[in-house]
Amino acid sequence: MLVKLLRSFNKDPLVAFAAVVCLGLLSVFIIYPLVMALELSLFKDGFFSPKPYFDAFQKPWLRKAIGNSLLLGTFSATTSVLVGYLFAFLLNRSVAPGKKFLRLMATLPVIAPPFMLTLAIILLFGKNGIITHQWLGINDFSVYGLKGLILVQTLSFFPIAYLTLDGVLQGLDATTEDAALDLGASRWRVFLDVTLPLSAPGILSAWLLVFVTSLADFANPMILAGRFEVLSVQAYLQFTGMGNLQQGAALSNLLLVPSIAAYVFQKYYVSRKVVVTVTGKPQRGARDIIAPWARRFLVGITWLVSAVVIVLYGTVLAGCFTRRWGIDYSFTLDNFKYVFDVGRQAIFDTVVLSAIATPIAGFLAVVIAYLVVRKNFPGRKLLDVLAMFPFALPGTAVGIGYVLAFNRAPFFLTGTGTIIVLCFVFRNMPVGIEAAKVSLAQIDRSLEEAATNLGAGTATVFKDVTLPLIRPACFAGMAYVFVHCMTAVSAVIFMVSARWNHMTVLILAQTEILRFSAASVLCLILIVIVLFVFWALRKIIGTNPRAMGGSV
Amino acid sequence: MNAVKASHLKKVFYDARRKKETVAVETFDLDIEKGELVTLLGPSGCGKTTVLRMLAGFETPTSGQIFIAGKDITHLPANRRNSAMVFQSYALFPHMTVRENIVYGLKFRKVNKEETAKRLKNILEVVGLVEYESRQPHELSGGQQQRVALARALIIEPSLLLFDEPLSNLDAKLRESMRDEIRSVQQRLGITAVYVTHDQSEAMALSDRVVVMNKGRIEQVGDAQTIYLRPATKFVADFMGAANFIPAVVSRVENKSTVVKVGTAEITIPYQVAGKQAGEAILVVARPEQVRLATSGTGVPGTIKGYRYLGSSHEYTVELGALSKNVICRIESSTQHPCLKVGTNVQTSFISEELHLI
Repeated sequence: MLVKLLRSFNKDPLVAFAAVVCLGLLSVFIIYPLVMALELSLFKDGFFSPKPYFDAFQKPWLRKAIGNSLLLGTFSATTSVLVGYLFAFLLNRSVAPGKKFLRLMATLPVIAPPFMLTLAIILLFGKNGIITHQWLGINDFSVYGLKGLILVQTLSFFPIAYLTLDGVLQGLDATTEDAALDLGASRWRVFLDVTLPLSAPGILSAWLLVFVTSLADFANPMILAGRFEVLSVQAYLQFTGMGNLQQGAALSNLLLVPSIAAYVFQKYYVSRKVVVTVTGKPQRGARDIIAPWARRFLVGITWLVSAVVIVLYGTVLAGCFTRRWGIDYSFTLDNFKYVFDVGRQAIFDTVVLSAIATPIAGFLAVVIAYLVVRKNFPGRKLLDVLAMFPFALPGTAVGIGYVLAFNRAPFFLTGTGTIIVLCFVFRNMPVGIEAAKVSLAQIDRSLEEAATNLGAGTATVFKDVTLPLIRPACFAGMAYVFVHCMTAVSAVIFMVSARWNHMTVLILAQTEILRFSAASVLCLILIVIVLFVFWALRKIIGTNPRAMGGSV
Repeated sequence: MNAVKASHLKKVFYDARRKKETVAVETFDLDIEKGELVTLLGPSGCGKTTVLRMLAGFETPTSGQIFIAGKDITHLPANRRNSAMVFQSYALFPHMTVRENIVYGLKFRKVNKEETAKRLKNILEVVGLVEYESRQPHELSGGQQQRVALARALIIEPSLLLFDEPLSNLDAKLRESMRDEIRSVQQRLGITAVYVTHDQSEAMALSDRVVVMNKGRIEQVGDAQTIYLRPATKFVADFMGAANFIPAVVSRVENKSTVVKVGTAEITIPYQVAGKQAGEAILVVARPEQVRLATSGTGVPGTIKGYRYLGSSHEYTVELGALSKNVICRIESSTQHPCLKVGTNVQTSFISEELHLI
C-alpha cells in the first residue's frame, strides 16, 4: 500500500504528500503510544512477561475493578438510553409545551465540566450534604458507590443517547406509523409494532456509545466511587500513585478491549442498520401519535429530569458563594479570591493550551476529511479508520500511552505544554472530522469539478471552493473541539506538571481536599469561558462568516 | 344513502413559528356513491391531501362533518375507522415480511387464522404476488412494493379505500400499468375509493368523477369529459391539459347555441351560454387538437411562428395577427396535412362543436 501510495505521487503529488503526512502523524500520535503501553505491560527487563494480566484476573481487588466497570457501564448505558429515548420520543412524536426548554436540558450537560454533577451530588447528599446532613440529619448515608455513579453518569450521558435517538426518530419514516394506525392499531401497538422495532438499531447504537463513555469515565468515579473500584481509576492509581507502571498499563489495556469492541461493533455493524428513510413529503403540522396519558407520563418524567439537572447546576452555583459548605452557609466572595490565587495559572494554561490545540485540530480535521471524502488514493480507508479511532480510546489509555511514548528518544516531551497540545489535537480531532465530513458530503461535487474544469489545481480548488463552503460547519466542529479540550481530564491528568496545569485537574484536587466551594467556582469559570467562546463564535459566523478567513 | 359524505369541511393549520393561520381546506362538500372512485385533483398545496387525511382520521377538521355509511365519524380516531390508505411512499413496515405486512390490519379485526390464510391467499392472487410472501419489502421492486401496500389496504375489506398519490414514485411506463391495475381491482371488488393526484391524465383515466381543487376550495366536480371539455373556470381549463384562451365578443345568444366573434370571424358554439348578453367579452377555450389550419378558405388569419414534431402529432404556434395572440395547434401525425413552414400565412378555424366558453 505504501509503495502504491508513493507511486501515486506522480498523479497528484499534493494529495499523496498530504496523505503521507497525515498517516505519519496519526501513526506517531495515536498508534505509537498504544504500542508503547502494550510493550511495557507485556515485557519486563526485555523478557516476555504477561504477569500483570494474570494479576488483573487473580488479585481480587483488580478483578473486581474489571467487573465493576462493566457493571457500571451496563447500568448507566441502560438508564441513559431510557431517559434519552423518553426525551427524543416526546420531542419528536408529540405536541407538548416547552419543547425548546426540554431540548436545551437534553443537550446542556454536553458542555459541562465532567464532574460538575458529581460535585453537586456531594454537596447535596455527601457526608456534609445539605439534604442528607442538614435537612434529614442522616449521618450513615453514603452516596459514594454504584448508585451515586449511576445517577451521575445517567444525568451526564443521557444527552449522548438523546442526540443519537433524536436523529433516529427524525429519520424514521413517520408514514409507516400512520399506516399502522390507519390499519387499526392502537397508539400503543403502533409504538410496539413499528416505532420501537424500527428504532431498535438506534437504541443499541446509543447504548454502546454510552457504554464506551461510561467505561472511559474517569472523573466521576475518581471522586464518587468510594470503595466501588473501577478500571479507569485503578489504572491511574497503579500508574501514578503506586508507581506500578506495568500494572497500570495492563489495566488500561484491559479497558481498551471492551471499549474498542463496543466502538467497532457500533460503528461498523449497528450504525449501518439504523434505518433512515427519507420521504418525499414533509410532515405538516406537529406529529402527535401518543395517547394523552402517555404524554402526561413523558412530560412528567422529562420535566423531572430537567428539574433535577437545574437543581444540581444551581447547587454548584450556590456552592460558589458559600463560606464553608456543610458548616457555615453564609454568603461570601472569598472563594473567588482563593481560586484567583490558587487557580490563576491553571486557568491561563487551560485556555492557552486549548486555544493552541483547537485551530491545529481544526486544520488537520478539514484536511483529513477532504482527503477521505473527496480524494481517492491508496490508504484512504486506513486514514479514515485511524483518524476516527480516538473516539474508541479511553482517556486513561491515551494518557498512559503518551507518558510512556514521549518520555524517551526521539521524543522528550514530558512536562511540556507541547505534549498536552498534541494530546488535545489528536484526541479531539474526530469531532472536527465528523463535522467536516458531513458538511463536505452535502456539497455537490460538481462545484469542485467546475473549478477544476476551469483550470484550478487541487490546492486552489480546496482554498477557493471547498474551504469557504465548509467553513461554518468547521467552526461549529472547532467549538466542540475547544469544549473537549477545556473539559478534558482523564488523559491530561497524566501529563500536567508544575509548569502546565489544567483546570479540571485542579477541580479534582480541590474536591479531594474537600474545598468544594473552590471546586464550584472553578466549574463556574470553566462554563463561563466555554459559553463565551460559543457565543463569540456564533457572533462571528452569524454576522460575517468570512471575518475569520484564513484562520482555519 | 351515500357511502361517504363530506359536509362543509374546513381545516385551518396554525404555524406556531410564524404565528400565522393558513386555511388548507374550506367549504368542501362531496358525496360519494358506493363503489365509486373519486379523484381529488389539483396543484400542490390545493388541500387535496388534507381532505384525504381528514377522511383517514389523521387530521381533525376545524369544522364540518364526515359520514361513512351514514355514520358521523368526524371525531373517530384513525385506528377505529374502517378506511385503509395506500401511501405515496408505500409506508411498508421494513422489518416485516410481505405476508406480515399484508395481514397486519387483520390483527385488529378479530379475524381467525383460517379466514386470515384464506384472505391472504386470495389477495396475493389479486395483486399477483403469490411467490413473494416471504420476502422483505426491500427485496421488491417499486411496483411490487406498491402492490403489497395495495394488498395490505384491500385485505381488511375497507369501507373506504384512500390513495395518496400512490404512483408518483414509479417510472412512467409502470405508472400506467399500475394505474390500470388499481382501477380494475377497485371495480372488480366494488370498493369505494378516494384517490389523490396532481396528474390530470391519471385522474381522467382512473376516475368515475374528478374533483378539481384550488387554494383549498373545490373548483369543479364532474366526470372526466365534462371537466376536460366543459371546464367551469379558467383554472380548471388550464389545469386539465393545454388550452388556448382566445378573447372574443358575444354576438348573440340563441336557444341552443351561442355565436361569438373572434376578430372578424363568427363562430357558432352549440350550447347556450348562461348570463351573457350580446356585446360582452368572453373567452373561447380551444384545446390544441380543436384548432385547424389551412392555407386558404375562411377563418381567423394568422402566421406560423413555430413548429415542433412530437412523434404522434405536429404542433404549431400560430400568431393571430388581429388579436396579437399566440395559439397552439396540434394535428395528429396520422392525418394527411401539408407541412407548413414558419412564416406561412394561414387561416385558423376551430372544431366548433367542442369549443367552450367561459
